[in-house]
Amino acid sequence: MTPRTSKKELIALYLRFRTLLDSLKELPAADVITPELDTLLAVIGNAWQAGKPYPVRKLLIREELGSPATIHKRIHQLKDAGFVSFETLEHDSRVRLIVPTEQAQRHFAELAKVILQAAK
Amino acid sequence: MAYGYLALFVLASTLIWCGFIALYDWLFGWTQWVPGVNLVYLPHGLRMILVILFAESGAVGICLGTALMGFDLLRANPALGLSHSFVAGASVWLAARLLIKRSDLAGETPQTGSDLAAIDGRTLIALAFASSALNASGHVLAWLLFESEAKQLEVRFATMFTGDLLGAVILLYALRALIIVIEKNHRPRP
Repeated sequence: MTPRTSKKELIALYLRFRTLLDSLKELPAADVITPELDTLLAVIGNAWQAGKPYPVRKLLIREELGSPATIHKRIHQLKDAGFVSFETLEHDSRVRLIVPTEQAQRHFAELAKVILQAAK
Repeated sequence: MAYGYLALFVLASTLIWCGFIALYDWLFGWTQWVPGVNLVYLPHGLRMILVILFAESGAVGICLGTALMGFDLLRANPALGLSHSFVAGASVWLAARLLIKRSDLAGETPQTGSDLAAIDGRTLIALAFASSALNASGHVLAWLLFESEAKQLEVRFATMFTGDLLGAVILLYALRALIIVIEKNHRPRP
């Protein structure tokens, strides 16, 4: 192992700390995604994939997904589980867009793998 | 050169370890089955955290801290005290090396930030399992070699292994819950 400078030692410590935090969050846990949440997450993911992420207000009035109160509650559940986050429009800070997080993207990727395996 | 920082990391690990052990013994001393063997041993989770954060310095800090906290044993039976102190620090470090080497990062030391990027939640659980097994095996081996009157070694192994594993998992999930609660309280509401 080549000797490292003090600065590099501190950088390595910081990176290890961040990695530890991330790995703690990724500890295996009971599946928090119910079929209803999965449907909503797929809708959010589809819109994001098409380059037009849903504003919160527009998603709340998608009647086929449930009442606005129900959708609101489910958005909170997805956010608390770390599957979605919010972004504001640059030109209008009142509009909040719902976007899938990296965790949600990993979730989509895992589902895609399962589908591919099933297809084989 | 960064020897000053490495010494600081060793000192920090030693102090954190001694402080946690003192607090743990005070709060959960009743979980001790025989001296040195607990039914649930949360500090094993701290061992993992110290080694992940401070690498070799963390392992050395744990060795020193264990020797300091077990000074009575060290005086009564130096060989047993020293070997138990060594095993306490080396078990997690060795488990980390073995597990990370199994990933596709062979040839690199597991203690650099880039290597640890390969660690995820499942690896943490695997690390808890492997290090608990190594720690319990090392302790039992030391008893076998340096304490002629040691009895029920297989029961000690089983108790220490499950105690370390349970303790590590409980501490890791408690930290996970804490992180989630903190993040939840700092996220903007829609």
